[in-house]
Amino acid sequence: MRYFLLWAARHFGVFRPDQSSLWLKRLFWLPKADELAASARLEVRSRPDPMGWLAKELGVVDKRSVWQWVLHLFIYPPDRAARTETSFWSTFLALSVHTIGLLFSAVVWIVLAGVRVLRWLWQRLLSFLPTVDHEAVGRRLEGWLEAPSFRKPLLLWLLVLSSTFFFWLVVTTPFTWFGQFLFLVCLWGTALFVRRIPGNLPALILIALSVLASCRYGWWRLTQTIPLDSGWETFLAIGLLLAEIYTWLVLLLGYVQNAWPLKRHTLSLPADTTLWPSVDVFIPTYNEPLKVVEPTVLAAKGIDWPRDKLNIYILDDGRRDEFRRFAKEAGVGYIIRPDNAHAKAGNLNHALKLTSGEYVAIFDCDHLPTNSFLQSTMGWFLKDKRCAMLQTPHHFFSPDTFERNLGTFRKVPNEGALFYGLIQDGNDFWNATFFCGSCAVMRRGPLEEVGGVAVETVTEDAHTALKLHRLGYTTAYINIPLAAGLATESLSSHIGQRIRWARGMAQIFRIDNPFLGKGLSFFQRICYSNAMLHFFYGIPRLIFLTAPLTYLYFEVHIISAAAAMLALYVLPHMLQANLANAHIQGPHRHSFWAEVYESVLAWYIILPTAVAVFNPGAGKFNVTAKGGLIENSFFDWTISKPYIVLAVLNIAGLSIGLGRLFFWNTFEMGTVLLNLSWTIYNLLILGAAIGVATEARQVRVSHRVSANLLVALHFMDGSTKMCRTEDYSMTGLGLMLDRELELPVKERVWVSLWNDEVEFAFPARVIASHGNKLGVQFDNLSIEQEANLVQCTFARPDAWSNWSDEQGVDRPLQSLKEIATFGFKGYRSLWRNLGKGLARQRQLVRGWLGRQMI
Amino acid sequence: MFKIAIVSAAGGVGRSTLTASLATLLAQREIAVLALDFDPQNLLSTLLGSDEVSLGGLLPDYLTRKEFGKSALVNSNEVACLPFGRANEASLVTFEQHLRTEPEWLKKCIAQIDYPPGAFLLMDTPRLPSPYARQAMVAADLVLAVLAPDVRSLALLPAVEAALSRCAPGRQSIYVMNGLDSTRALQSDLLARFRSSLQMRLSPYPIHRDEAIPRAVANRANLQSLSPDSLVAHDLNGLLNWLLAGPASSLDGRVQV
Repeated sequence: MRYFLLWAARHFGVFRPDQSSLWLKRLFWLPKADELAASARLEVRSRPDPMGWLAKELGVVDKRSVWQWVLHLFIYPPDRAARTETSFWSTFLALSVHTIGLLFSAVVWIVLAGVRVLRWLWQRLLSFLPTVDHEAVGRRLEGWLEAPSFRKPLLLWLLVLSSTFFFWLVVTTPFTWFGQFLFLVCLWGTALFVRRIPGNLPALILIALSVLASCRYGWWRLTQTIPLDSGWETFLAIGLLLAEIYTWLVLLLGYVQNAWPLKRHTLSLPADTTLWPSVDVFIPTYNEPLKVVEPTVLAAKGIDWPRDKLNIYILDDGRRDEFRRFAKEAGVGYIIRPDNAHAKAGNLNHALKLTSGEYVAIFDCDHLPTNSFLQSTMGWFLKDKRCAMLQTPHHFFSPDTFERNLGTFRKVPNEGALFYGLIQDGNDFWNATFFCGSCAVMRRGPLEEVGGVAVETVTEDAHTALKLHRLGYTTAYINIPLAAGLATESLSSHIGQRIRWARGMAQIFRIDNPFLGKGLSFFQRICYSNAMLHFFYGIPRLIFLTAPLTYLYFEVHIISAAAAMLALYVLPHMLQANLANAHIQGPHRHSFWAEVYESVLAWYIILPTAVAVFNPGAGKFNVTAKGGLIENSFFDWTISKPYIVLAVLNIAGLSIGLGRLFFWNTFEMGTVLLNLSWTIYNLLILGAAIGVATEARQVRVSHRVSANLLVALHFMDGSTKMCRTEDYSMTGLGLMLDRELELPVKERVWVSLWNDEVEFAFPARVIASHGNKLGVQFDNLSIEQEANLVQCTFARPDAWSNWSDEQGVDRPLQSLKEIATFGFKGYRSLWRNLGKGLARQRQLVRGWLGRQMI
Repeated sequence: MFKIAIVSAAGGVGRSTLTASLATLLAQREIAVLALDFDPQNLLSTLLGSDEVSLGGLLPDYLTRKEFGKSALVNSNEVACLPFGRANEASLVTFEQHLRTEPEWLKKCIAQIDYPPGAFLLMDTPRLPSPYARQAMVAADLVLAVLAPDVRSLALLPAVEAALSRCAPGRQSIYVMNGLDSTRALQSDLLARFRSSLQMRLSPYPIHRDEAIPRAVANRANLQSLSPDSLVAHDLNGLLNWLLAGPASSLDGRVQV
């Protein structure tokens, strides 16, 4: 206590501790510098010393002797003469201060000890983890589960029943606030421990915990929190509830879908190449420029497969002479048709009729296959005779619109990473891998059996896979990027593409619902349904983005519960879901990014999905433009309109909320705070969405891929220099040399690149030379040279294998901070562009006025 | 000691240059190396930095019945070189006669050399067919046949194969392309043809034609320190690594025998 007081006195600069007014003053004013110096000489005498005072009063001479204290307290008669009326009060005060001090330090000590014990236990638990051989435990568990004694149906049913009972118990038992708090802490603690265990089993435990917490929240929400008094309130409440039920359902379905990612390996082919089947490669194109299609065709030509068993066809729906000439020059097939019925699907079906390979590999015209594509994939077809389709990831070497506009390229997993990194692997476990339209191989027989690629919907790929699954064929997924392409180059085209996917999925949901009809297993139905339901997030997302506003604007309580109780119920639901998802999806989707990705699209997919559900035939197909270039950075006012409206609404809500917090609704501060924090979160997400609408300028026509490849430079004087690439593209190389080297611009050189062990030299010219950096541009390459270039760069088997190595791991708080930063940047960019836009408007008006005057 | 004979059927493919470059590179990696010039042209010591053509060498030693290897020189790169030595026409004829009658003469002589374990012996030879090359092939553990990226080398490939099977049956033999100019499409095509006919026996590291080599010789400098980032330096390193990892990987076992 004494030390504490002394410390406090020093800290606050109370140089006269016995002066109570000074303590009060120091709480609000800091001391001056000279006063601080004075406090450094704080004298022991000047602080209150209740023990000393008591000793003096009792006549204790040696304060440290316990014996004297006992004597003077209980044995010797008190010296009454020394006492006055005031001294009684001071004794009482001093004693009580002393007791409180003692109690305080005791409590502090107990709490600290408790914390220490807990920490020790936690560390013991954690140190216990590495000592366990998790693989052996996993194997034993698996063996145990598959033992015949365990596989008795009765036992299984008993287990299912008992766990259902306990589940029901946990979900439905009402708790007090303290009970619910304990529930939160227990669940959270368990999850924090479990997630440190390696292997896939902890993912299942985390999923179970999350399902428990979410179901408990759902039960409480359904039974306790629906306001039933006024019609208006109930209507809004039901809306929010439906949105929550939707997310709850998608969460649960997602858990089933991703419970056990298969992570299929490649299978080797028989050594005898005569046993390898014949493959037709289809490259459909419609309006893409030749410069985009050319590398793809050349890469396909280089696929490592017996020459007589590999046929490449350009399927040109644009019917362009340029393409016909190129096909002839490159020695590949060229197929056109009289009409463009059913777009890409029709194009593929037309080509199917004219060709006869046992297998069909399909590449979008901008997806360059690596030369190991067929050798890595075909093994599964030879092993599994029922396998009708094998899909590989769509990999993009150019940044997509999020990555470019937010600057997260290769740092944060992009939107597609979750689907190709996790969901398809999860689907594969349930034999429900979807066909994704490109970078896939299909067996001709089954494909013809289902009538070719589906034409009823605009997502012909997923629908074709669904039809194959209905006939009992299997599909496979290999999560190794074996082809790469260009991502959509602008936000508007990104949204256009997603609208098509959403429409198509909604169409399938309507006309060929995976939950109805024959042929699918239960889990296949779940995987398909989740994929389709996923695209209905438009309305729920908008509801979440506006829900807190109903309270902030109109004081409508759409959740009828105390704020603290709501927090106690919703927290475990959100925490557990976050922990489970961070564990399962961590490398493929960072926390909170789903909100950003969805918020950007939410508004735009509502109408297409709704129309598709009510009238599947309506609407028209839109083509995704690729290979374009955004020449000047600009703010996309048209696209960003919904986000701006939502942001303005939320900002207004925030300001009203602050008023409610301090003036109007001080009696329910908890509710106001809850809604305010929700609004702030929404604002951050919307800010990031606005940031995406700030289209950053693209500098280069052909995208440069950063890579560290060996290069030899041959100079005209016969000397050479080895160096490494910083990046490559179809038009040039960025080189890094060991030493500084000044070369004149336009100087002719030859650059050698290696494909495996074979060297290829390409003529080039220097276009930039700074220090040890050198830029060269290829000089009129022939088609053969271009093909070699593709083989040395884009089509290397390992070209994309270490792509995401530089990506950070998912740290939820870090991720939140990132998104907050992007949110702020988004608003800043909006503000600046608003200023620019207004200035331009003013000028226009002035110019117009000027003309009117004349 | 690991003995390599460097041979070729065509002339002017750069046997001596390759021998000198490999020897220097070995020495630089602190592997003891002896470059043996078994070619009457007597050029290897010059390529290795000797100021003038060596008068002394293994032929004069033989004629004067001195011990084999007495006149070896060591340059500043720690490469030991045994020159052929200068000789007149008549003594050459005698020597060649001797080589014809005693095909294992060189092998026996080499066996007498006291050399540290793990050391390399590189033998430069005249172009095939020649009694010198034959002696070297008989003595060698590994025959390194040098090819030029031209039609000549392609046409002479069967001759090399025949000489190998005649002189060194069962001996390990590998091929290396020397003087490649990869900017010429024809040379790249020829390399591809060599590769398809020789398969794994052709070194994956062709040695490119590079100004760095003549420049290093002219400056009496070490290639690896004069132009360490040149393509040919990279090639030689690759070739040596490939040799050490593949054909010469059982080196230590051989030393014991």
